[in-house]
Amino acid sequence: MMKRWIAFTLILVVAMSVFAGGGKETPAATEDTSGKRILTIAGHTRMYPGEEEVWAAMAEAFMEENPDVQVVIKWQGTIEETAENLQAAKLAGETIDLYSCGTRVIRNSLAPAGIVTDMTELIKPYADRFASGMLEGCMVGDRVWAFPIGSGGSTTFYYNKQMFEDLGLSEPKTYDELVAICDTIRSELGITPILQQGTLAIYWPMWFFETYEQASGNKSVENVNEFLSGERSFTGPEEIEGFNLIKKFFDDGLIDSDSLNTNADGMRAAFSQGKSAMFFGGTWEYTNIMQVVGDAFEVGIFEFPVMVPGSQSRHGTGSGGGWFIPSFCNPENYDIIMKFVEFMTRPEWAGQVIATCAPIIPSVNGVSAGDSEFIKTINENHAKHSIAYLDWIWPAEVNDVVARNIPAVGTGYMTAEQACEEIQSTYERIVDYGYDYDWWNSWTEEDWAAVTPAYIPESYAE
Amino acid sequence: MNITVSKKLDRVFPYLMVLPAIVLFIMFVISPFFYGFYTSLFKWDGLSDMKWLGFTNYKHVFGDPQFWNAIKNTFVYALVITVFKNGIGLALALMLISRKHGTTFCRTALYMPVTFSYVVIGVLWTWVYNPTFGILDGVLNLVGLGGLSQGWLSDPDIALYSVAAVDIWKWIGFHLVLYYTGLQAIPETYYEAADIDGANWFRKFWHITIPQLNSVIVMNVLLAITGAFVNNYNLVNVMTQGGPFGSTDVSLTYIVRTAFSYRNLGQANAMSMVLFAMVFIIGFAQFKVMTREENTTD
Repeated sequence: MMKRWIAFTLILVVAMSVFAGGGKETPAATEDTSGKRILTIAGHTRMYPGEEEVWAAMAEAFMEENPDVQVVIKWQGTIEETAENLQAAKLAGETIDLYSCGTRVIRNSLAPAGIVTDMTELIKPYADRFASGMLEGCMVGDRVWAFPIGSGGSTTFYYNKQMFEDLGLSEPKTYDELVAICDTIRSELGITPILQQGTLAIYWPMWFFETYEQASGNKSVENVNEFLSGERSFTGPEEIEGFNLIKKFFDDGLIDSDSLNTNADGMRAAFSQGKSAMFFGGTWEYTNIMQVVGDAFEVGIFEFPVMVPGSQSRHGTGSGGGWFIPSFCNPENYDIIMKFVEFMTRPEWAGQVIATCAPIIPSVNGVSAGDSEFIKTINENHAKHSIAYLDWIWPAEVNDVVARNIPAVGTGYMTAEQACEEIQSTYERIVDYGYDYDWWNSWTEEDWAAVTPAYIPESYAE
Repeated sequence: MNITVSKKLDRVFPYLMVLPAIVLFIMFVISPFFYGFYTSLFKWDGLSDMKWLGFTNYKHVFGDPQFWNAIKNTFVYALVITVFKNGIGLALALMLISRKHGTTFCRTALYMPVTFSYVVIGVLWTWVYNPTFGILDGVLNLVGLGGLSQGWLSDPDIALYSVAAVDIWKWIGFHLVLYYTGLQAIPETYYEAADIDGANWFRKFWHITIPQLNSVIVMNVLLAITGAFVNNYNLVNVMTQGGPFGSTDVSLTYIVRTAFSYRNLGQANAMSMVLFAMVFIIGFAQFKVMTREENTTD
């Protein structure tokens, strides 16, 4: 009998230990034991070596300057888990005063969900601290929802400079020049000229941003806004042409179906081993590709070629990393939140954070990107021909269909017309379900009240 | 009196022993299931307040062509891996049972992939299938079969089968061990009697092995089918992310995408309920059909 009760007690202890994690939530503390005000900043686990240390040093320096404030830093989860982590924090009754995550998530998911504080008035005194166009990337419906601390990115063709020199090739400006280059590479070396990381669906829409921008006479952003507002169909000739221009890359043999079976590692490996000559990707990939290529050869870049005579080649651009104030922050903390915002946007501190990610286009004025040829080229060419990333505007459902249909059209699995019709029907389906592009226009006073700061503190900018 | 109390305790004690497990099962399996059903009746992005929709989510799920494409792929995937896992597993078990030496080595070697994680296997096979420097095409070229090279993961007509092949490779050892154990349990005297009657190999297999293995086959098929429906997310996600063009998109990848990419937890839960109903019906029907003979005998 004794053995039985011991066994039962043990089982009970094990079971109770599982329950121990549960319990009633307790309100988050607003002051620490020494009476200091607590400022909580959080975000996904930092992605770049040394970044966490910079943030810790920044917090220390801020606390020295503001001895009545205790800064608590919480880095948790991956960038993809942002929404889930925020939800968990909110349900647990935590207060987070500043949160860092991808700008696209803020624009597409968090702001429409009413979980982001409207920063329009709060950020005004510091607006001139951000590089041109960067703060605009955090705006939806004429309101500012976040601010960028990081490096802006764009898209570009990367190429093997040594290979080009050996074959007597120069950087192409137009599509016809690119075709001639690819013909030479194929005939001389017998390799696939362009090999993409095609298994990563998110990279395909970047092609469409380029071709649609040209096919629409450089009005792709306006067209997408009209499309999402229900004022324009996605089955028009410009949209179809956008797909057909990508198909030309496949039809002319510049790219083939091998790209559909290649991931990021495979693409970099093939490029670094001279088994492909070019790829189209984000400027954020420069560090990774240089790590793989090493000293084997120089890597060059050129802008997406002009395919439609008379149009300008323009590229998706924006700063990926954004900071926002959750609507469940401590409402008494707006003063110290903005003090910290002022502190972190100083070039000496923002610069240290941005430096960890090998910046291309720093989001904060006064922060240097460095003087490499790559960065110079990006800033002198690509950055001047920028548009908003279309996937920051359209919903994830539409983006997925675009991403899926691009290689399908390219390899002849479906026509451009069918691709556009599927995008249109996907849009209609989500509208039928309640998708509202202009969500800010249909918000009630109550909705706005929930995201409007309790007060606007004085400016701390000098 | 003491004896009566003791008898009562004897009766109660087994329930007390399983009580914590039942409570945990209710908390972490049953309750989430019902909460999942509850949330499937709402519009919910996981962040803002839930809005009551009734069965609207189900209407949208049934009208969503991408969901049905994913379900179709799931069924094809389930059929392929169920047939091949069991067919090859049984064939290998039959080969090993008749061998005197090396069976332990073979079983261990074939079982080893079962212990690997889907992520590791997915990455490994993505490289094996790589068109530029993948070992598969390299070997085919080496032995003069370069013509058989395919776009293993890039051809939408082949990609799903390429992923299924990896799943089959991973689990063959598991099914082999179950069949091997089942075969060991068949009395040798049955085969000796059949030999005396002059039965050939196929007749012995069909009239002795298969009926004697029935319960093992039922279990193996059930495991393979349910695994195909509810355990294919990691492999597909690592290898193809549902591509190319949605040709490897299975129900789980689409459900996860709906929940966390489209931020539509209500609709994702409605899809989960539909998937659960399908798996339940198929599993139940399969179990009933395959045990019909046993039930009749009983």
